[in-house]
Amino acid sequence: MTSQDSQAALGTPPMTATEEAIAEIWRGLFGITEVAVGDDFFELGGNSLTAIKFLSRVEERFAVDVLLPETLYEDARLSSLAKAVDEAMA
Amino acid sequence: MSALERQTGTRLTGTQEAFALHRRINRTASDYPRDSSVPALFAASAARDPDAPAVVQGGRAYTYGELDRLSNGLARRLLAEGFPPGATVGVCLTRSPELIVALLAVLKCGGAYLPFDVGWPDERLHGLFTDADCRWVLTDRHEQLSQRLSECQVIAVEGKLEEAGTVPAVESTGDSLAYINFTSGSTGRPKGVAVRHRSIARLVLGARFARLDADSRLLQLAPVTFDAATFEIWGALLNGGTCVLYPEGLVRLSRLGRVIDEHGVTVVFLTTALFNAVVDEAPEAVDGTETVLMGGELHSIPHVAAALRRYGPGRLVHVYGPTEATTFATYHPVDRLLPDSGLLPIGTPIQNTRLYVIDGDTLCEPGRTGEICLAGDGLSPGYVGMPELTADRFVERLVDGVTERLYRTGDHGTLLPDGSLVFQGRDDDQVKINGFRIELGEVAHHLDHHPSVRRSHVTVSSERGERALVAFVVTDDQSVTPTSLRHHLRTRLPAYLVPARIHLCEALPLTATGKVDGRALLAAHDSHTPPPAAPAARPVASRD
Repeated sequence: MTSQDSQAALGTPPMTATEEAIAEIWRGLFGITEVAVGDDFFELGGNSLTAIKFLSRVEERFAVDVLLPETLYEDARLSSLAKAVDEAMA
Repeated sequence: MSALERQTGTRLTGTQEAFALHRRINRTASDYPRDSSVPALFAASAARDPDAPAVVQGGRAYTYGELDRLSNGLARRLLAEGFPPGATVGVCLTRSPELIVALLAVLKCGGAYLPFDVGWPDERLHGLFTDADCRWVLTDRHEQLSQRLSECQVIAVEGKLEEAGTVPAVESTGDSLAYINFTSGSTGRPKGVAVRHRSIARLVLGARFARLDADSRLLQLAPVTFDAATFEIWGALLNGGTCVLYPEGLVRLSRLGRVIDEHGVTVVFLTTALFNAVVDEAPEAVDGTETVLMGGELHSIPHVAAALRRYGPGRLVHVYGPTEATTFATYHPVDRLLPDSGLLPIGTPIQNTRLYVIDGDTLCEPGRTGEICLAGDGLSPGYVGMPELTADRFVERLVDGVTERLYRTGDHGTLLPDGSLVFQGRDDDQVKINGFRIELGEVAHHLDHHPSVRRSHVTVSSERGERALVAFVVTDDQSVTPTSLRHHLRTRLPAYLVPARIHLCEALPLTATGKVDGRALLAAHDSHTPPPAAPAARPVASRD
C-alpha cells in the first residue's frame, strides 16, 4: 500500500454492511466513535486478548470460522477483515 | 564476609499468633517420589498402561508406549550427535505431539530444555543462549534456525520420527535441571529461571488444587515458553492422564469450547485476562470441564462472581505462583464470595510448598502486610548466570528453628485470620498484562538505547478493563517516529514487550516527588476517547 492509498483510505467511513458490523464491534471494544476502513486493529490498541474478544464477537455476529486469527494477524485493516468475512460467507 | 552472607540464616521474629498461623498453613508435606527424575516418573506411567492415550491433538494421538519409544528414538539421535548429558537444548516446535516427544527426549538425555519462540529477535535469542550456555537446538524449523543460530547444533524434528525400544541410561535425579524459562528482567537482560525435575514432580503429584490422575485430561493451551505449560504437560503425563494439545497457535473461544468438548478436557488453566474474556464472551466454552484454574494477575470480582453463578461451587480455583517457584505456589477454591468484599484470596500453599509473609525480619501476623516469600521443593536453584541477583532473591532464614531457603517474590500480601493469603500488589516496576510478566525497565532500557531517544517512560494504561503497555519518548530527532521506535523494539524484544502505543512528547512531567508522572502523560496523550466534535483530536503520534 502506498502512502497515498493510506491517506485516502484513512478517512473513508465503513460502507458495506460487513464493514459497518466490524466497525460497530471495534467501537464497543475500543470505546471510540470514529472508525475508518483503513484503520488497523492493532494500531487502534488491539492486543492478543482484544483479538480473542473481537474474533468471538465476529463469530457471534456472522458464523463460526468466518475469520481466523491468522487472517487478523496478517492484515488487520478493517477493509481487509470485512473482505475476508465476505469471502468466507459467500 | 559479604553483606549477603551475613544475612544468611537471619532468624525471623514475630508474635506467637504469627508463628502459629504460618505453622498451620504450612503443614503441606505429603509423600511423593522427590528423588525421581521426570523420565523415571513418565516411565512408571507408561508401564502401568502403555496403550493409554498420552498426547492428543485433533485426530492425532500417541499412546504412552508410542511417546516413550519416539522420545527414545530422538534421544538416541541427540546422543549420537555427541550431546553431552547435562547440557541445555533450545526447543522450538509448533504445539504438536512432536513437541512433547522433543521435551521428553531432552530430559531422557539428561539435558534441560529451553523453550523459545521462533518470533523472538536474533539479538535476544543470542543473549538467552549465551546466558544459558545453550548450543543445541531441536526444531521443526530447521532451515530457518540453522541459519539464524549458526553457532548451535540445530537438529531437525521433522517428518516421520524413528522409534527405539530403549535409550542408553543417563543419570538424572530429582536434583537435575529440567528446563529454563526466561522472564522479563528490569535491567534489560532477561532472567533465566532454572527448574529441577523435583520441582515438576512436586507440582503435579498428590495435587491438592485439582484432581490429577489417569482419567484426567489436561488442556495444553499456554505457549510452551511459559511455565503454565509445565503444569499442563507434566500434570497429565506423570499421572497417567492425557495431554490435550490445543490445535492452533492463537486462541479462539469457539474453538476452545469445541476442543474441550470433543476431547473431554477435565482441567484447564486460564490466565486471568483470558478467564475474563471467556466469562464475558463465551462462558459455555468451559462448561464441560471439571476444574477451571485461573490466575496470574489481579482478578476481577464481577467476572469471578459471574463464573461462580454459572459453573457452581467446587469447579473454580484461584491459583498464584511465580516461575521461580514452578507454576503454582498457592491455591484458593472459589466456592463462595465474601459479601461486600473485593477480596479474592490467592489462598494457601499447594502440596510440599510453604509460604511466609515477612516484613523486614518479622513474620507477619494476620492483617499485617509483608512480602510474600515461598519455600519448598518448587524453588528454583536460581537465575542462570546471575549469581548476584540469585543471592538477592533467594535467601536463607531461620524459622521455628529450621533454616528455610526462601524465594522473595517482591509481591506483597496479607494473611487473613483463616490463613488464606490476599495479594496486595507490588511496589516495583514489574507488571502483568494479559498473563505476561513484564519489567517496565526492560522496555525502557531498549528505548533508551536508541541513539535518538533522550528520555523515555513506560507505563500501563488501563481503560475499560483493558490493560496495555504505553511508552512516552522524548527526542530531538525529527526523523524519529513511533513506527521507527516500534521497529527498533521489535528487533530486540518479543512482541509482548513492545508497547501497544508509543507517544512522542516534548518533556516528561514530574510528580511532586520527582518521579515521572505517568498518570499525567496518559491523560494528556493516551486518551482513546476523542473530545466531542473534534475527530482530528486523536493523538497524531499514536497513529504513526
